[in-house]
Amino acid sequence: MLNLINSTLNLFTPLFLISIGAIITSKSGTLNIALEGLTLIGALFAVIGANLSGSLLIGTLFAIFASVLLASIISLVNSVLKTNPFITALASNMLATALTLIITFSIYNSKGLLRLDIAPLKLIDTLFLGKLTIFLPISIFLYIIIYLLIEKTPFGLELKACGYNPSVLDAFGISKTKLDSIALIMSAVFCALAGSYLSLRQGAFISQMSANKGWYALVIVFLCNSNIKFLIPATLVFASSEAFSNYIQGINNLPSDIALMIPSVFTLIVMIAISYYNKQKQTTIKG
Amino acid sequence: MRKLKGLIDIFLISIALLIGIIFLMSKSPLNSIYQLFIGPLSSPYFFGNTLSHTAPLIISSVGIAIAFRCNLINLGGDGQMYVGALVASLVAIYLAPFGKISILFALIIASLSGAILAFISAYLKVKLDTPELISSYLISIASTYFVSYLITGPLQDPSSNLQSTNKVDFMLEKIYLPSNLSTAIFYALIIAFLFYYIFTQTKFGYENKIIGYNKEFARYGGISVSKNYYISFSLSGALVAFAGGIYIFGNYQSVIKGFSSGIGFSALTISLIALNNPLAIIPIAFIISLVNQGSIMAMQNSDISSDVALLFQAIIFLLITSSTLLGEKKNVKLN
Repeated sequence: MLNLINSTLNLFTPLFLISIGAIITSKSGTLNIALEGLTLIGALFAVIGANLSGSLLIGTLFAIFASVLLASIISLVNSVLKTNPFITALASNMLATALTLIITFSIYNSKGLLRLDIAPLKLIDTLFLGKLTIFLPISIFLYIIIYLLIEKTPFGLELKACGYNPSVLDAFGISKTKLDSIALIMSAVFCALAGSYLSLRQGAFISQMSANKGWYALVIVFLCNSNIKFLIPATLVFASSEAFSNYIQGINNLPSDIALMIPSVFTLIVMIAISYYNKQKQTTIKG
Repeated sequence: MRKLKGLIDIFLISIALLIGIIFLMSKSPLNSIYQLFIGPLSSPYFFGNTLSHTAPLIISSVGIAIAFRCNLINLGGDGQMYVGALVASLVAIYLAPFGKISILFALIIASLSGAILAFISAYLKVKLDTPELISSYLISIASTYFVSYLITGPLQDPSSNLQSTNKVDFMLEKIYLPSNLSTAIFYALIIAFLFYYIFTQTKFGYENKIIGYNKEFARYGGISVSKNYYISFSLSGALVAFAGGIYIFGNYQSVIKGFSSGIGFSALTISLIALNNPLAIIPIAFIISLVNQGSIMAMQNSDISSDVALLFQAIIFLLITSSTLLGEKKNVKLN
């Protein structure tokens, strides 16, 4: 049982970080499908940075730099070349996959794999919850900051206005493009943190190690109805489904592919349930 | 014409970026570039194989284009293709006593399976407003794992070294030996022309287009948007699954683990570049197939990774909806 709680909390950390990123962009009214790629590129550059400098902290900064760079490219392409934001985001996911594979192949001669030369992220023994990393308290701390930023500051109000009704922003002379870019870049920071957690804890970068977490994060935001208060319980639900998937993989002779199916099926069911609930609510209001 | 000029610009930018990256990554960049662009054209064998991979790409891109035309994004291509291929091979093996006609039945039932998968997303979109983008992708992940489980578990061919199912008994006729090129390419061309006709000459094609431009206007004009969503998205899934079947009967003979991974995204790229025009899809699918084949050759004969093909597609993908580059006043609308 303790094991299950512990692995849930460890799976919770990256998912939570990405979800914070997802909720920032969802506040500004965009469905951010680039999360997956931003996380992946962060995971690779965390290892590259840590190997170059010998410090996990600098590795994480590298990751943030790389993800923010990718996010800036996306928002630049979106605003200057006026592309369809969905397609650009999908493209950035492809770009991230391709770049991680090419970089690991050409520079390190092992396609899709890059080992960390220094000791991976330290696990700290806590009394009741098992071994955890420093990323968990950091993510909670950042969550509180983002909560305050969105709920209590003028910037948060602008962001929310952008999501509700962009034409209001026009009236006040605030640029929607600029807000969108800021939101995207902020979410990139969180994806980078999640990515560095994944690779620095694993002690290696493995291709596709973001494992659709960016997509699950979108559904988590869906689940808490973009209300930032419910983000922790919503993420916990998802993390426990992943922990469960890992758990039964070890315990029974269940084929791994079937166990790996669980999170996506679960996500799908949750999404259908929320859509159903929202629809019901809508019709009640109308009726 | 301005659009065409824009498209050529985007192609040139992408190729330039690709060449730039090869120069950064490769120790013998000229050889790599030669292998990438000229390699697949260097012998009849490679050329035939490039064409042979073009056939399913054309079919699946037409499928994706149907959804795009009414503003739906079918992100489930990988899964639909994988399921389609598995269903096709199972049906073909089961009906093998009936002879070559089994291929036809296999393809029909494979298309049905893809249609069902896609229909779920369309149904959720219409009834519950669930974004089809996410639901089709999640269904694709789940079905991909499930098919992989079947291929490596109960349905694995014990005599094969690859992780794959039993081989089907009949294949489409080869027309350009020693390469893999089969009559599939003709079927792909027929499908492209058929859908060009449907898109431009029929009521369905017209309604489909109007919904893409403006859903509310279409509704006001008496077009049933939900009916069109059902038909378009199911048809989209059906064609992608059909293409999965074509991979079996035209190229691979058995379902190999993970073969469809990324092809759904290639199909998205192709139909975006072709601006959803089935006739334009034909040459563009050939170019993408050429780059795919070239990247495999470049990996074997020089020192760059085959993922440069993915990178190339990603760069095009990034730029292709740009209304600035395509010289349009308004954004290309998709959602």
